[in-house]
Amino acid sequence: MATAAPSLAQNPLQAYTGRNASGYMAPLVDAFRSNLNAGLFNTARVEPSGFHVSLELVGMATFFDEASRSFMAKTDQGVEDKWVRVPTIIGPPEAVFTEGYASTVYAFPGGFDVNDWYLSAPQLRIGNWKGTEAMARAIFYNTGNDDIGSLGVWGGGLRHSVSQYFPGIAPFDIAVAGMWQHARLHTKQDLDIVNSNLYTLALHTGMAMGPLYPYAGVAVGWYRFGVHYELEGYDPVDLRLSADHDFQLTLGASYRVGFVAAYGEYNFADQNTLAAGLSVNYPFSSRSVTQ
Amino acid sequence: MKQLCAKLLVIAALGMLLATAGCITSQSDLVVTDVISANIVEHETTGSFSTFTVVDDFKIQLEKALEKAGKKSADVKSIHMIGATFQTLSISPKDARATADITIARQDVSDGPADFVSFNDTLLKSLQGRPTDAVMNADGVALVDRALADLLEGGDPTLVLTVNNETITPTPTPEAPLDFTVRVSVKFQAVVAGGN
Repeated sequence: MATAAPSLAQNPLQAYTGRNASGYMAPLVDAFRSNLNAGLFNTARVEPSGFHVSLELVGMATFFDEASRSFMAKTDQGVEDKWVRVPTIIGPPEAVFTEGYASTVYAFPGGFDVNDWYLSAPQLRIGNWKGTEAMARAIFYNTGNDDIGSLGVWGGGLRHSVSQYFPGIAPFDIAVAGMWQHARLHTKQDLDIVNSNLYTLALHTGMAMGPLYPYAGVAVGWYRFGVHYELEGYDPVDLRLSADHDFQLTLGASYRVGFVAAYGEYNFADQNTLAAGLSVNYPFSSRSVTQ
Repeated sequence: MKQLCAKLLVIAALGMLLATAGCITSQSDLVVTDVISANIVEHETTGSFSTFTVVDDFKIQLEKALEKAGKKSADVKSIHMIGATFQTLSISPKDARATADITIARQDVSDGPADFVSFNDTLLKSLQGRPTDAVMNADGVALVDRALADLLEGGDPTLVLTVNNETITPTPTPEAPLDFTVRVSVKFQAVVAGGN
């Protein structure tokens, strides 16, 4: 006697969330992390005291290289283990097929042919107390799709002047910074599809050269990227990615005229990121250019 | 709960692409993985038997699986079998071991039978719990792939699984019969065109 059986409760997007998930998603996760770590500072100078506030708008862009468009993936259950070069999420859109045990065929999904990726954020910087300033940034964006929900990115951190303790190193400025940034996609069903946290420690340095302020920074990050989604009739999609101790080198320069400064920088990381921004400062007298 | 189309889930899963949706320049080939299953329920009183199971809702199961991923069969570019699994749902006696071959054939057209999977002195109780990958035969896989291809052409294939049992230990008798329910699942991947 035979009876029809319901489908097993498994994830229909297993090709995306199984053993190859981290490789498939890596370029985008790395780009997002690199974006979040970009544009966080435009001088290394933090005054020991005195009120200062600046409102900044920074844009970040990552341009994916050819190597990021594919990765080595392993066939999943039912097909004997085989390594195959396949598209990442930003790679070519065509699926890749490989033959497995007993003439079975296994397909790897295509990518979305993404060449570059942008993020922009307003941020606010307030100081100074004992050579310390606070910084915060926030992005809120309604995707207009109920299933995806709204994007929220926010975070804050502190930066402390190290050079204030070492007058002999003038005219160099040195500061240390700690930053936390949170990102999520939140649906109307009160579900966080994406929930990520980035923790960053950084060392900043730079030197005023008239209105020009070249700066550099080294950052190390701890990144937690989680995906959760529920499909009716299936096991929930629950994916956790993490990237620890990833370094980012920043080289940039700012140029200040009156109370406005413009800055641009290049960030070397797993995915390199270009960032540029404008800041409006109060008090109007410059810090960096008057040192 | 609302259904989420596959593309949107993938994009969401990858972070914030929708916030910069202009970056997406092409539609990706999506891969949907699912299973089509049938339960084999048997009550046997002899050690050697042959029995068959008709899977006549192949098309319905496939369409339901695609629908859950926000897709329909017209979206499918290709479809193929990637494996088969067995799962014992109930077994008595608990120590029953089987050596058997399972063949597969089409009932709606002349195709098969073809060797599909084999058991070799397998403790049926060991197949309880999570589905266990079956050792497949290329002829059976090819027949299933032909049935899947016919589905895309609008056909409604009916499959027949035939269990040719060679030995059962301990040997079933009318006084001590063998009762089991085994779920056979064909795992497939459908490559579907991107888009919503």
